[in-house]
Parts: sequence; structure tokens; C-alpha cells
Amino acid sequence: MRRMKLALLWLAAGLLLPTTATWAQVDTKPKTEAPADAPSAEKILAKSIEAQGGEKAFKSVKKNRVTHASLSITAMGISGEVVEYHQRPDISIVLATMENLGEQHTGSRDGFAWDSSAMLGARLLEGAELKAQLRSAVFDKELRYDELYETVEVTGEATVDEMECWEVTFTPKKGEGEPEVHYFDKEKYLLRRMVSNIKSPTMGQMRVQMDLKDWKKFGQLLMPSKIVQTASGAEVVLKVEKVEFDVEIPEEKLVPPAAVQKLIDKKKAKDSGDGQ
Amino acid sequence: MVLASALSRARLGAALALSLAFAPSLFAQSDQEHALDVQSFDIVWQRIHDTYWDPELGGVDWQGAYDELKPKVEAAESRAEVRRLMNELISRLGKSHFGILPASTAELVQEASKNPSEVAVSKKDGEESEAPKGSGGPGISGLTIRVIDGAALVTAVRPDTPAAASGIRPGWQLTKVGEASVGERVERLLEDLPESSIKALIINRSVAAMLDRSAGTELELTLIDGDQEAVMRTVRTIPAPGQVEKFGNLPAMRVEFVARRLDSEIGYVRLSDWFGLSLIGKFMTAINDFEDTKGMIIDLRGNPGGIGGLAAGFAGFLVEEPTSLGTMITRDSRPNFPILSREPKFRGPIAVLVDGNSASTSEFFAGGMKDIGRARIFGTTTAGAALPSMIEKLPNGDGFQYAIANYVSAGGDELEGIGVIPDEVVVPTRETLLEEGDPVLAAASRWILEQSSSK
Repeated sequence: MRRMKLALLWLAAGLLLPTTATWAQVDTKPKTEAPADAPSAEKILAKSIEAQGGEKAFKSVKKNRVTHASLSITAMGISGEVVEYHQRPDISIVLATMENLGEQHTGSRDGFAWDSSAMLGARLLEGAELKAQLRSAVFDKELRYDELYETVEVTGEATVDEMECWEVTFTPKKGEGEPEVHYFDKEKYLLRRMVSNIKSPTMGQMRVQMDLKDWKKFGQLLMPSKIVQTASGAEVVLKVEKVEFDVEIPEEKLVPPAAVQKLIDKKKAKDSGDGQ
Repeated sequence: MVLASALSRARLGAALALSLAFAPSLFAQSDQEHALDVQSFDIVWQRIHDTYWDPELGGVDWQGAYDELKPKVEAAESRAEVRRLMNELISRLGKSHFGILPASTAELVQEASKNPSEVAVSKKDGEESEAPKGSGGPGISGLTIRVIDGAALVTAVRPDTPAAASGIRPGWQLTKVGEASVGERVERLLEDLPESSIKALIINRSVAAMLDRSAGTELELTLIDGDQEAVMRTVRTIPAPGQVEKFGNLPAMRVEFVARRLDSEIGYVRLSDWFGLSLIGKFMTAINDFEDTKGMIIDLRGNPGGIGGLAAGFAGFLVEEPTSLGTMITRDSRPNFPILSREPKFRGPIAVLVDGNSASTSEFFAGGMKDIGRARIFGTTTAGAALPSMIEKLPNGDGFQYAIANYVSAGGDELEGIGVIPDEVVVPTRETLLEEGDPVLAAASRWILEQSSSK
């Protein structure tokens, strides 16, 4: 669910639509250096996993998770529905349907990641953007940060939404993207904010801030039920309405749309030396 | 992003927004309403302070402006006065796409779909009684008017309309609508409006508003014909063409997409606004239909803009490899207007027609296509009103439009205040209009045929 909005943000930014800008309402106080007695990142992440239900709760999901959410591009009056199909080990398909904007399909599987919209067309992600998306699509990535990132370290303290937080910086492996900064509150150790800087040869560069709010229990897991993501003056709000676990997902829901499949076939042919 | 007709024009900048902001206050304000006005002023100041792409706000003393204007806002006796002060504040930035839209504007725009004449007159002059009434429904005269060298010239006559049947031709000069003098209006605007890239656009729109009447209205027009004779014609307005599109909070608007062949050899596409996802499908159909043509002309004259993503979506059908129309510059991001190569593909030469009434998204498209070398641009320089913007509803009910980014075309040029300069500047004159009908279209057609014959 967290990654679904990146593609939506690219779209929202490109729309140049009238909307209420709330992106400037950053209430993070200037960060301070981490004190010498700050807990280690490992400890913070372990507490965070515990706060969400523990490793056992994460692993209790055997096959997949289907998340249904409402979507709004704030004050623009654009609303819609989003469904994310997230299947072990690393398939993630997000289908957003927005009024007067048609469908936006975002996904990753088999080493490819893409987005496709009726307005802009389709593209395959490349380079660091691809790596970031693939990393994001890993099921239970919260349990595998040490495999997915080069380093994870506590880099400071900050206040987010009036909550004192530890700032933890996740640095991807070389060539796999920019550092991501996560803010965990000191009381419950829940993730409250993520800030990242996305660079794409096609889409440009965008700083993305994602606030995770209203944590609620879905199944055995505590999850944010409201996600507010802001970038380039565009704000997208997702409200989770339902989460289903281990359901039968028809295979056709887990494949890329035709326009994307064409791009994948073309790339495969090119990579194997058969294409142009 | 293009609002329904009246509101979309307001989008073009604070100058135009000011013209919409003079609805007189009929009622004394309550303390509560006044508090909302003061709060709205604060939000406008703060929002620009926080979001303007240049943290230095182009050197404007923003705090000084607040300190100067806030006491005036607190002392203001009407919402109109507060609105004027908010517009004064934002006009100090000297940029397009900033403005306060009175709450009543949205209502006026909605009324426009029922009776455009009332809207057009009340929003411009507050003289509601002057408008001749038609039978209802939005209407158009079928005439395109542009002010050239101080004269309001007919630059196009829509075929199969009463205007065409009346014998009016391109190049004729419009001098009166009923008893209202066109010349006086033009003269006043030329004198009163500050020099800016959108001055011509505002004047053209103001003259066009004299002809915006509900369908079935009889307009008594006085013109100077091709023989320099003053002639009178009665023109009945026709229902406004186009498909009604609705987008989010924005009022419904009518968008016209025309696709046809010129002499069987050249594909021609015209769109009134960049608004409505259905445009993508229509453009795809046109591309399929134009497969065997020698080239395509995309006519963006008079197109005030719309959804930026649509321009990028259109461009995808015209390029072989992914690229970009340009880049938005915000304080912390540089998102592109990506062009994703897509099918069906049109590979022939492309000419884009623009004029001073082509703004915003039309400028993104024309400027980007020019910079990536995929199209040749014909006509006159565009409006230079090219800032990506948003509209926020203020506590007092007004709309606050503000740009959230600067825009740089693919070639690295800022368009704001400058516009897209055509590769081939073709300025219609009375003589060329009388002689060729549409000299810009003629120049573009010649170029496409030359490309074909040179192969």
C-alpha cells in the first residue's frame, strides 16, 4: 500500500490540477543529532515490528494481502478507489480507478516494475527507481531490511505530528536509490513518516513525504489506515477500508496490462540480442 | 485545470482575476464573515510564503507586504475590499496563475451553462441589463475575433453557421455589437491594462465576451467589409459545440475536438481546451484516420490550457522514444512532463498553430514539441502564462489560485512572461486574412506539403 502512491504522485504532479496544497505543512521540527545513548536502529526496528504484532503476525500471512482503499487528491475533488494485490514473495499490483482520470495500473513482478495510465501511457521503470520499487514490493520487507539495505542507522531525533521520533536512515545498496529517512515515534515505535527522494530518467526528481496515520489492527497486524503522501504540491490521501489476507486472487489480476507486457517483451528481446 | 469558460480565463493570472473580483457587496459583513476574510488573507500570504518555488520570492519583501496590507484587511468593510487587498498582495509577485476567484464566480460559471450572456456581462461590467437574451443554453457567434493593430478583426468564421451564411469573411473588422462600440472597449483596455505577455489575451477575451450570448440570441453586428464599407449583419448565435467535461471540483465545461482532412492530404486537429480524458481516445482515432496523410496540423490557437498530463499524453503518440515536454521546478522537486512513447504512432511532419490566446498547457505542448524537434510551430507568440497552478478554497469561500512551480521547457527555456516563439511567425493582417482566409493555416499547410515533396 505504501508504494502504490508513488506512481499516483507522478500522475498527480503531472496533472497540474487545482488542489489544496498541504505539502508545506511540515511539522517536523529541525532535526537534532542522535544522542550518544540513542537506541540502535536494530533495536528500534525490532520494537516497531513488535508494536505491529510481532514477527509471528507478519508470517501468519501465508500467501497474500489484498488492500482496498479510497483515494483522494486533496481538495482537487478527485476521488477514486485503489486495490493493491500483494503476493509473496514480491508481486505487487496496484489498480487505482479515479473519476474522470481512468485507470492507473502500477506493478512489479519477475524483476520488472511499471506504471500505466490512460492519460500518459505505459512505461517500465529503470535503474534506481526500478530497484526501489522492487525493494518496496518485497513481502514482509520490514523483517528483511538488513538484506535490502546497505546500512540502517539512527541519524537523529525529530518531532512529527507532535510526537517525538527517532530518525532512522535507510541507505540502499550502491546504485539502488537515495537514502530513505523514516521517523519512528519514541513511545510506540510505530512508523510515522517516510521521506525519500526519487529520481527517474523519464519522470524527473521528486521529494516524497509520506505520513502514516491512524494505525489500526487488520487481521493480526497493526497497520496505518490513513496514508498522506505529498510531493510537488500534490497531495494524495489513501484511507484503507478493508484488508483481506490469504484470498484467492485470479491470475489475471496479477499480470501487467497489455501495453506494459509489450514493453516487457521488447525489453526481453533487446536484452537477449533479438530486438532492435 | 481549465475551468469552465469564465473561470478558465481567470486562471490566466491575477490581472484577469482582478476583473472578476468586483462583484459589489450588497450586505454588511458580520464579525464572523470578517474573521473569515482575515483568516483567508493570512492563508494566502502563508501559502505563497511556504510554496512559491523561489524561497526568495523573486526578491519581493513578502513580510513587508504582509505588515503593510494586514492592517488594511483588518480595517476593510467589505469582502470585495479584502479581495482587492489579497489580489494586491499576490500581484506583487508579478506572475500569472495567481489570483483570487470570488466565491460567486463558480456560481456564475455554472449559470453560464444556462445563460452565458448574463454571466459574460455581469462578470465584466456589472451591467446585466445590456445583454440580449437568447432562448437559453450556451451559445457562440461562430466568429473568432482577434485584436490586431488595435482593430478587432474576424480571423475565422465557423462554417455552416448563421455567421457564415450572413457573408461575414475573415479580415472584416468588427466595430459594434448592438450599440456597444468594440473600438472603444479595445482602446480603453489597451490604455488601462499594464504591459504584459497576457495583455493581448485579455483584450481578445474581452471582445469575445461581447459575442458570448445564449443560443438563439440575435446579435446586431456592425463591421467593415473587404471593400472598406460599413455593413450590418444580424447573426443568430448557435448552441455551443463540444462535449461537456467534468473534473473534480471544477465546474463542468464544454470541450470541442475537431479532426478532419484538409484537401485529403493533411490531417487537421483542433481542440478548444486540454480537458477530459476522452480527448486521448479521440486523438488516437484521428491518428489512425490520418495514417496516409502527408502531415498533421494541431491547432491550439485560442486554447487556454488545461490538464498538463493530457499534453504529455498526446505527445506520446508522436515520438519514437520516451522524452519530456519540460520540467516543473518546485522548491524540492523537479518532476518532468514525461512523454511515454505509445501506440498508435503518427510519424509524419507535424505543425502546431498557436497565437496569443494559446496559454498554459498549450504552451507546454507547443514549447516542448518545438524543443524536442518534433513539430514546427506557426503563428504568433503564445501568452506566456505557463505556471502549473492549483486552486484552494479559502475559509471565506473564495477560490485562491496559486502557482506551485515554475515551468521550464525541454530546451531549458522558461515560458512564463515570454511564451513560445513560433519557428515561423505568421501575424495575420487584414490584408492576408482577406486574401488567404487563414494565413497561419496556409503557411503550415505549405510547409507540410514541402516536406512531402522534398522526400
